[in-house]
Amino acid sequence: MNCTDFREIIDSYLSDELLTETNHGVLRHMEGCGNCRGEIEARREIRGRLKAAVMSSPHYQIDEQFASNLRMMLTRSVRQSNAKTTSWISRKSWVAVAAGLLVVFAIGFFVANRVSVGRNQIASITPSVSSLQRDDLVNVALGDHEHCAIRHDLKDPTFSLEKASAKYKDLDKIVVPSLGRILSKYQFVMAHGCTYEDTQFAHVVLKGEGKTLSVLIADLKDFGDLKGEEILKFSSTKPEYHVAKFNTKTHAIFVISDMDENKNFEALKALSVPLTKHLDGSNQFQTAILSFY
Amino acid sequence: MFELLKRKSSDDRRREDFETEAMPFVPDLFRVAMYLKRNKDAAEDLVQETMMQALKSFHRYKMGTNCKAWMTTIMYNTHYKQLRKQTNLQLVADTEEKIAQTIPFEAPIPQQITDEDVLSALEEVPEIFREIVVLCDVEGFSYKEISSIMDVPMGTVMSRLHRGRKVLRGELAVYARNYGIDGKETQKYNEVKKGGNSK
Repeated sequence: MNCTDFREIIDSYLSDELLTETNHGVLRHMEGCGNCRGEIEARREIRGRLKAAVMSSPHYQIDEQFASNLRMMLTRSVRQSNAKTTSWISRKSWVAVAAGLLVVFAIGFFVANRVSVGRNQIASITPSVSSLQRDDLVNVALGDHEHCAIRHDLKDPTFSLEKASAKYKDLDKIVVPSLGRILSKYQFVMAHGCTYEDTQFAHVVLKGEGKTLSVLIADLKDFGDLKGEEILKFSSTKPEYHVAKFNTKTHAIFVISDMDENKNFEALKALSVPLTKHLDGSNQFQTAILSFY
Repeated sequence: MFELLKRKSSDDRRREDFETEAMPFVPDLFRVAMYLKRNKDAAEDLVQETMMQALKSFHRYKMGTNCKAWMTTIMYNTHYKQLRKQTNLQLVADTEEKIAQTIPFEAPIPQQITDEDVLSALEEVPEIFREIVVLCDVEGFSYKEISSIMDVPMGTVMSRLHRGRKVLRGELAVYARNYGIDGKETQKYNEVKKGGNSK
């Protein structure tokens, strides 16, 4: 490397943009050339002086008031943006998560030797846990619903609670305060009606502590054999989600969440009294539910 | 479906990361905005618009990469968009060459100059070179990052950088005359620059 070559590339050397071999060439040349050592030091100094001059110049310093206002505005926007994302996740995905899981146990009941718990077991306060370990069923159900809900391809679009059933009107106003007693950090995200496999559901979603909870309610007559005083807890092959269900005389109520299993079940219990009152129009709760109190 | 849900949750977290990842670079962005706008109010507007755009697009930011470079790219895009709106001005292809012709040699290196002299010398560097010099030598972006930020080929970055540094050095030599570091090369530089400007 001669001095001309050296001076062509030393800026790149200073910017650490050269290949290792070329760096070695630069270093070798510097060892034997005092002029070029001086040149590289001069260029290094100019860079240093330029940077120091810009960094210390008031002309290039941001106004503190402006910076503070901007920070506040951005923080507000971040929060709003997060809220929008939450809502978006719920609308687009949680229908799928919740209804997908519903399909898991619907199929589980009809195809895989229905699992249910009798009154005697319920009375023992420890509810039975039925594991739907059939990967194929889980995957088919979730897979199908991915196409339906997430990709906006639901056969029937979502609709208002009231349209799903007159009884569902203002359902969120019952569900949210009822859960608020035990899940104080959870906030209401959305409520709507949706149809899956010809069954209409009321769907209320809450979110808090990084978890999401769905309450799905359907008319009991749409569940065929899935009648009676049953309280069920399911665990699917997706261990982060827990499903619990109880029936009123007229409706099936599901709570699905990624909270821990006990908390998910507590949420179901908290809903049992107010929802039975609201949906059945009476104070006559299912024995099974009362046995938990 | 679950994979998709997890991805969205991850996007959600990224938005929350905006405050810690992106917001600390506001003062750096302001400096870049000042290089571009050279006016405080316009620079503040540009910073604000850039940050809002960055927030909106933060899900596209790849964690672990250079957030400052990513936001500076947004700033340049925003700046170019504003320029296109304001004027139909386009860079003339030979501008760079014309300016380059005024830099025929390397001037001596002044030692006694002040920060004010350095900043004044920087102001004398044509914009097309100045911005690239500050992006590299002050803001510390790599050639590749500058190429991406300015949307120009890497070779262009390198040649503009080379020329910009030469002009800066020549300008510094002019300031150095006041400190008695005059020389033949400085005089020659002045003559060439004068000739170049009068063309």
